[in-house]
Amino acid sequence: MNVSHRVIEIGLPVAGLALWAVVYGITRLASRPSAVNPAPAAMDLPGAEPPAVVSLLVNRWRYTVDAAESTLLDLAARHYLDLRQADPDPRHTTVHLTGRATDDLNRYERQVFDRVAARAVDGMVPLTALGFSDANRSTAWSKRLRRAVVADAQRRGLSRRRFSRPVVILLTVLGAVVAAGVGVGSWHYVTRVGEDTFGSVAAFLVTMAVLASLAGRDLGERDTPAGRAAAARWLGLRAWLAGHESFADLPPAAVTVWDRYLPYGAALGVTRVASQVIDLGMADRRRLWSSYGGRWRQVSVSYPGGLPRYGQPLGWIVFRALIAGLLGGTFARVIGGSPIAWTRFTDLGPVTLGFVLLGLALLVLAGYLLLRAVVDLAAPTTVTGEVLWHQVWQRQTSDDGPGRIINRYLVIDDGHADRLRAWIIPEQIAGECRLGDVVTARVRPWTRRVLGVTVHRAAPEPADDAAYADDDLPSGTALPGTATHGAVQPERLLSAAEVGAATGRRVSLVRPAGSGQVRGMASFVDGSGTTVLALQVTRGMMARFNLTVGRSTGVPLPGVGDEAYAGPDRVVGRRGDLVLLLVRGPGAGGVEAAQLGGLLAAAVSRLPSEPAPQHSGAG
Amino acid sequence: MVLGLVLVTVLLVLLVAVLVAAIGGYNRLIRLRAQVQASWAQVDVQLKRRHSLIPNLVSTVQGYAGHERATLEAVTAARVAATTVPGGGPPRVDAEGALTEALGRLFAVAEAYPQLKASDTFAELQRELAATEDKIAYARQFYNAAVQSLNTAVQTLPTNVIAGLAGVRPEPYFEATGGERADVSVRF
Repeated sequence: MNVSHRVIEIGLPVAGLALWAVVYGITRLASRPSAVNPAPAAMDLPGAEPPAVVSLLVNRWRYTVDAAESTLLDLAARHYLDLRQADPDPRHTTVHLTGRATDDLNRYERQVFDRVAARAVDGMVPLTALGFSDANRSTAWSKRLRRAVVADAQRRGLSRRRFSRPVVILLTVLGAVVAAGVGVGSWHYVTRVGEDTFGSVAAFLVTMAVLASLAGRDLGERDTPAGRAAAARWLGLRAWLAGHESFADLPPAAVTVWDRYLPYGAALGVTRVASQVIDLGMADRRRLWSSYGGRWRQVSVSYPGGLPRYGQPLGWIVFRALIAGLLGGTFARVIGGSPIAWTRFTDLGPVTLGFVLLGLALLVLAGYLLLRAVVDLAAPTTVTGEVLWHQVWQRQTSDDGPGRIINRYLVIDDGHADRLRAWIIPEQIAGECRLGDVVTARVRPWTRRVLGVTVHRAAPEPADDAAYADDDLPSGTALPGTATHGAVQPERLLSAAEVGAATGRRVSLVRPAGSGQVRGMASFVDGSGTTVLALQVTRGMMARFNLTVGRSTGVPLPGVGDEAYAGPDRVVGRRGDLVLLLVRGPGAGGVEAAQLGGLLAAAVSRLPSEPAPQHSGAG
Repeated sequence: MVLGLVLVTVLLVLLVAVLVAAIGGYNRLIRLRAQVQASWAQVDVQLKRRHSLIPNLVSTVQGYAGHERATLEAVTAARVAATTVPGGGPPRVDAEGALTEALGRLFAVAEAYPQLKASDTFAELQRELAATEDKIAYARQFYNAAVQSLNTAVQTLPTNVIAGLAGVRPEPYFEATGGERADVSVRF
């Protein structure tokens, strides 16, 4: 390979990538939030920015948990909430709804308020019971809050994205040039060695995609001149508050006396006790709050896991008992000789004696396992209560990823005990209940295995999830076609039992994933994880598309919703402006789509009734 | 010889540790005292702001209710007393409390004069005075919080020893007077 080849095939791509990396690095360095010099310490509140925005400014434009905590305290300072401390322990603070109208709350204040309202029973909730029991919901809630706080700061001119649009365009264009250089280099190489030139196109596209995604990645927020000025003023207040040692030890209920100083103190990170007590993140799974039975109680929960029997079916226990018995018998009889000989221990050699004892121990274990298995089999019991915790426990080991889920923990509070022990529910039936449902579970106490679940009262819809789904969309922006409609949650339209009865298969519900994925979909899978049925709720353009496909490829299903059609692999129905699509999966086997009409009718009947859009019609 | 060296080393280390702790304790006491002084300065600023509003208030009320001479003179006298008491000790607290009571009586009198209540100047002064009273309340909370931290340090081991040597003494709280504890108030 001569020098000119090297220059084109190696030098050009490397130089281009190095140039892009240098420009990107310089841009990143230049866009870091500047340090802010605090104003002199002063007592007065130096501005009208809400505490959550102040928290963003004084943390170098990084969102922290202080935003949620300070917003909660601010709601109390403004009398939307009332914080009452029953005894000297600040952890025994309760939050009460005051009944004040919340019309003038901004988006994130309303989100925090709604979290309290959703958890409140008879208008009250313990302050430490505001945490989430579902990691996905906790993450999604925090992300929504962050977006709303950042949007407010940007609207006030106090913050901006680290990479402005021109910078992103510049980096993308430069990335395209660099990608072209990489493409030219690879094209030169493949033509020289006589390979397929598609590789050079692929090199260009991959490089372009990587560089463009790096350029467009959200690196967070940075300062503005107005933001720096505001941050300096608030840092002056922080210096003032930090100078008062006892301010850090104020409990949340001190907001009654300190008014908005306490929320701003929390935003500025100078309230140690209040910040420790308030936690709007994930709850501690070992100390859960329950309102089942009408009053708030904190329950201690233990999670079984140390012994191999937990969560196992009885067949497996019996099999293990038989293996243990077989091994025990073998050791005792074959190695130890006849049972008469065992009575003369002094005549046995130490090794033989060890095997005999091991064999006897295994036989005892086998007998114990069999006895407990029989008792467990003969006496299954039921437990009725509210689901407090629902979490993955065991996964199948896999080299390719996290592996298939096998068992989950299920904590059910029956309203009587203050100490609970989790049950273990197989993944196949785990989808039949969810957090907050009131259920009756048929269980085997010894193995802690759940045999079946019946839902008596479904958990209230998590209104905050749906209500803020379009937080960042400016008014007038159409929702994406696949977005979940308002309060409709696809996983609530059909149960696993209904789908199982219709398809003749035992299925479990795969819940919609958390943020970042389509929330309008749910699916039912069989024991091997193969999809039996997928369910999607759509509106807008995607709804019209689904309906058009259904109409052109299927036959009408009279009496289902406003209109419905059954196609070769799907059924689709409309009610108002919502369109529900059921698609048969590979796990459905010989089930015809037309047989799913009953499921469609049931699901469509559970959709909220809304007027049809003016433009839906035949289009 | 070796044992003696070890003992000397241990003593030196202990001495250094005690010295460092003493310096840290002293610095903390001085910081707390400075915080009390700064907090009092904030109270003082707000009290002076209140004092500066009172002449205008008196003259405004005089224009509508000139014959309420006794009440007006009581306010003026209380203001003079409050401005002439130096520092932030109990005499000053009492004087400010007396002024608050006198203002309360003045506003009670104003209730009987609809024209006075309808006056824009009087309404504006009322608002400013109310805002100032709020700030005084917060400043007093900060002052008392600072005093609490200082007094706790001055009265507990080991900083009480350093405080005794350095001459740092407990400071008085800015407590509500008897009049303020009663219902008389200039908050509107």
